[in-house]
Amino acid sequence: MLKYILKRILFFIPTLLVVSLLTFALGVNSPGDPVEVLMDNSESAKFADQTSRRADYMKMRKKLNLDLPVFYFGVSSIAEPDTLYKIPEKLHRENLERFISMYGNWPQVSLYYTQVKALESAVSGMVVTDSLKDQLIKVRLLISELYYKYDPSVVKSKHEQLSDCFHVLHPEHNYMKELTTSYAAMVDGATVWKNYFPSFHWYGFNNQYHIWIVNLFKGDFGISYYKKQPVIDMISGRMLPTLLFSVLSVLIAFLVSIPLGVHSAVNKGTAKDKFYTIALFVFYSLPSFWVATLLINYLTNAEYLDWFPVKGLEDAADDASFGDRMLNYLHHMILPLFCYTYASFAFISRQMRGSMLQTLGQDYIRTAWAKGLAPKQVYWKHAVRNSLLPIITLVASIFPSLIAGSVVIEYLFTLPGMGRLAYEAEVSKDYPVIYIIMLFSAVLTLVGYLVADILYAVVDPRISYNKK
Amino acid sequence: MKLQQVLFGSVLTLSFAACGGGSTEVAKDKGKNEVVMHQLGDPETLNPLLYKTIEASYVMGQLFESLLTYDPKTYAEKPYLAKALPEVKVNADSSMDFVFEIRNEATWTDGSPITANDALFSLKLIKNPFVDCAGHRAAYELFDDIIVDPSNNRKFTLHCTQVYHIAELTAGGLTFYNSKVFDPKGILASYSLKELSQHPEKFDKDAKLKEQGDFINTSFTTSLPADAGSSAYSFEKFVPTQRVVLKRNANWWGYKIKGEEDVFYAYPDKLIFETNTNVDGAIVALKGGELDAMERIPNRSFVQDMLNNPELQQKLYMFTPVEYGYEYICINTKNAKLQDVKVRRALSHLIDIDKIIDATSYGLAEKATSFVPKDLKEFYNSSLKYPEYNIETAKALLLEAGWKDSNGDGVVDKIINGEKVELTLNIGNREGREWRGKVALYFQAAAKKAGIAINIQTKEWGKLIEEMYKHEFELLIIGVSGAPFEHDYKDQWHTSAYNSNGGGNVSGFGNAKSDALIDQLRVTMDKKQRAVYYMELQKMVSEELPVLFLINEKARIAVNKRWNNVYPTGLKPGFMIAGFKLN
Repeated sequence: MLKYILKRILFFIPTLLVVSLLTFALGVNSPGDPVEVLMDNSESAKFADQTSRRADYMKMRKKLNLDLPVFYFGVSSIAEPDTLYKIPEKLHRENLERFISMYGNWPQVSLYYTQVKALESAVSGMVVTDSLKDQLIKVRLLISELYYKYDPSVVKSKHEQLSDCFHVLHPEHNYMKELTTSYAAMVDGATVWKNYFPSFHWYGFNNQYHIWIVNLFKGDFGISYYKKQPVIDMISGRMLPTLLFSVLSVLIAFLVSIPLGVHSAVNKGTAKDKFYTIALFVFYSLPSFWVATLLINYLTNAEYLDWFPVKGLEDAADDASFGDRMLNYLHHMILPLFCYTYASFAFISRQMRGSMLQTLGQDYIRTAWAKGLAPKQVYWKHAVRNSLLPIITLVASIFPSLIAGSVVIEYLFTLPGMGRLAYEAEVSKDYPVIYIIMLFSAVLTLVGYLVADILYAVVDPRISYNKK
Repeated sequence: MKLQQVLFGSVLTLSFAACGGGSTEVAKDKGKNEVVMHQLGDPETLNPLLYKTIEASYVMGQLFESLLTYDPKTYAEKPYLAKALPEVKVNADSSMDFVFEIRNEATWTDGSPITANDALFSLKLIKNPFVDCAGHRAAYELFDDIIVDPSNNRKFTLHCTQVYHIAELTAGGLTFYNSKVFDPKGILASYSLKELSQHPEKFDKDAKLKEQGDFINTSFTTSLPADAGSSAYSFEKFVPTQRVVLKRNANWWGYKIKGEEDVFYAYPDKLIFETNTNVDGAIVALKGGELDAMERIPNRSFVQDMLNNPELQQKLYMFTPVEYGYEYICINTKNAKLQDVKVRRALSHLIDIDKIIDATSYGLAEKATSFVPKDLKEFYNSSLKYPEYNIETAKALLLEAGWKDSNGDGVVDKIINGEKVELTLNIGNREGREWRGKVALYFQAAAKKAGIAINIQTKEWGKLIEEMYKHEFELLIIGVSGAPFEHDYKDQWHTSAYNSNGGGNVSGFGNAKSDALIDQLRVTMDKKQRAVYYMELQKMVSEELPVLFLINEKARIAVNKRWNNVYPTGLKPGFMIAGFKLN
């Protein structure tokens, strides 16, 4: 058994590495630019001119290591250069990637991009008379659009419009010549086939993933982008309340549901059984956010019954005694705990009832009756143990919820839980926090399945992990 | 049955026992001189240089002081740390100087005097390129030096590199940070503010500055030393996800200032910022007296359950002042279908604003007609009228623009660049913005009658930002917050801000004339002349219609009547909690 457990734990390592890779890849490819989200876009920040804003953008990008390659290596096509990640502007980078997939000739794509930049630079210093200012503005707007337009008809139309404007602005100077020539070279010299030949780029250890995972092994879980706190501090502050609620709700759910399921099975088809079935399904069908809202409105409200606190986990005064503090905690926990738990009653007890009914039909139970054992002994000693197998499967699924918590209940009762932390991190694109939550969740899922497997062997002597 | 009885019995026993046990921190005791204000979320940090959220700004506003402040009733600039409004000089090289003198009474919370060197330190702190406060730094970009008066260590000149219409406003907003707390090693003392301002790139590899920047970037996330600021309140406690508690400093220097009670006040012993992520739960707490003040109460609850409830009228002050932000539909004027101003004008006649205000805002809104706050009377163009809701006018305008339903499918079409295009428009909305979603539905229904098909697309904010910067949207329903002060509208309306690098001119509005107006406005110090520019710019926006203005929301504020000296104000959060006096 011990050997089996050790083997399973060893399997955790590659699984977690794969999870870390997937998590990281999802974060990197999710829409939106984390630097833009982190940059202060408030009214005051808008006083900055574009140059200083860009400098701040680059600084932030470097600080977050976003100027480094994402992984140790890249597998792309021979059409794609291995330095595309160095282009800081996400929109530009994406547009260049599109051009590469459309035309497959990086040198020409790069030349066209350089020409757009050169034209932008030439126009930025251009001085014209008042009557031509509108044309100049139009030119600037059109050039800025070239950074993210890729559809050939649209690009050509923009080029034509630009030519018309330049014709008015500076008839004798052909600003567009190099741009249109480079675009034509890109389109005419397309080598799309290059996109079908894979290419391998080795970037070395100075990459985003390596830095992150090495720091993780060193115990450095990173700093939250949003709150600037160490991620581990944020998670540890939320983990305890979530664990408390999860463990208590699981315990209560099992303590109530298993006897209820057994009771229903034993009394199958009676009025009692039907009553339990209906009552539990009514419970099951009530959404927790609605029940929580009702409880808050009617049991925390001075207009009705002001029995419970409306939110939080505690509000004891600083000088409160230990006993008072504990009572204060318990007082705050009752309503959320109820909301966490009630829906599980129907689910677990129905599972238990079904499993118990199946067990009661087995030969060995008939033998137990034939031996003249008391009903209590038959049900609780012989039948229940074997009926617990499907319930154990449920145990495995409970572990991830220890970290996921319940976003809705935590929000409604303003609880300091993991669900809320995960949601807030997701909304604010706080990747360091998201990555760690995902990894913790994966660890707990693996632990859950391991515990379930061990429990199977404990409960059912027919199951053994020792090789014979 | 026994099990259930035991369970329920224990739950009830526990609950009743808990009800009786222990004193609680949050003021249920109505005699406590402590204001409990609702917040929808925690401040993300207590670092005064790094915060971004409105929740943090409310807390910071009570902890730190600046040179000038605003009268909460008249919004007039008033001296605060400064003895008087600054002496303003426009120099021959078109730069500006603001001469301030700090009050003799002004001290840090630890009792040490505030001097001109503290102004110098505070600006250096913002200018340290390693501190992640791009927003603050951007605001003070034009201020490059502070010259301390050699004969008076409380007097200094703040230099601004160019004439700028809101330079005084920005200069007066300079917040003071205690160097003992924010730079305990005294690193910044050896750096020149002018160098930091003019050549920040020189310090890219400066280890000492980086050390100071790293210190700021990783400190003060969940606590703040009592002597970090100079204000009437200092930090006492932060219970993450629950509350921030500030306590009053009995020795605050402001108590020595007489005759200026309109801005110098601090009556409650504690200010408690209580986080409750559940608005309904917060309303229950407000009604039960556990919360003293709440803003942003949902319109429906406010109108249907609170405003006309006689019992609550006895308990609560309820205010609905008009806010300075506005909601609007942004139009991509560069889109082929929306380039023609007649189409945009047709869209403007498809907004049944009265119905929207009644049905979606429960009457708690006013029609918005401009980007300039209405209370800036000298700058607000009151001649602008809201477009009349009229489907027939919209149809006529579309026809004039060449759009007609040639195939009888109910959607108008037109040949553009040789191709038949139907007038189908996507309107983007940020997820979770329920009000805007409802407005989009009204707009969609009206547009359908005029032969325009509107697709409502709710998207994640990151995705929406990406589309905005790429100008790959057609219509967006969004909003901006505001205050009763002048702004710099360059980022919103100038063509230089139409780009893919985060520029705010998302609609693509503008031409040489509007750019010239904005450029002129920013360097004109004469208010009357500035007013002329403002009027003209507003007129241009209303004619070009890069945006369809919707509403100015009315704030929904409730404050417990155990307090007096409670009044609404245009300054966020809409009331001055430090000014509340216990009955």
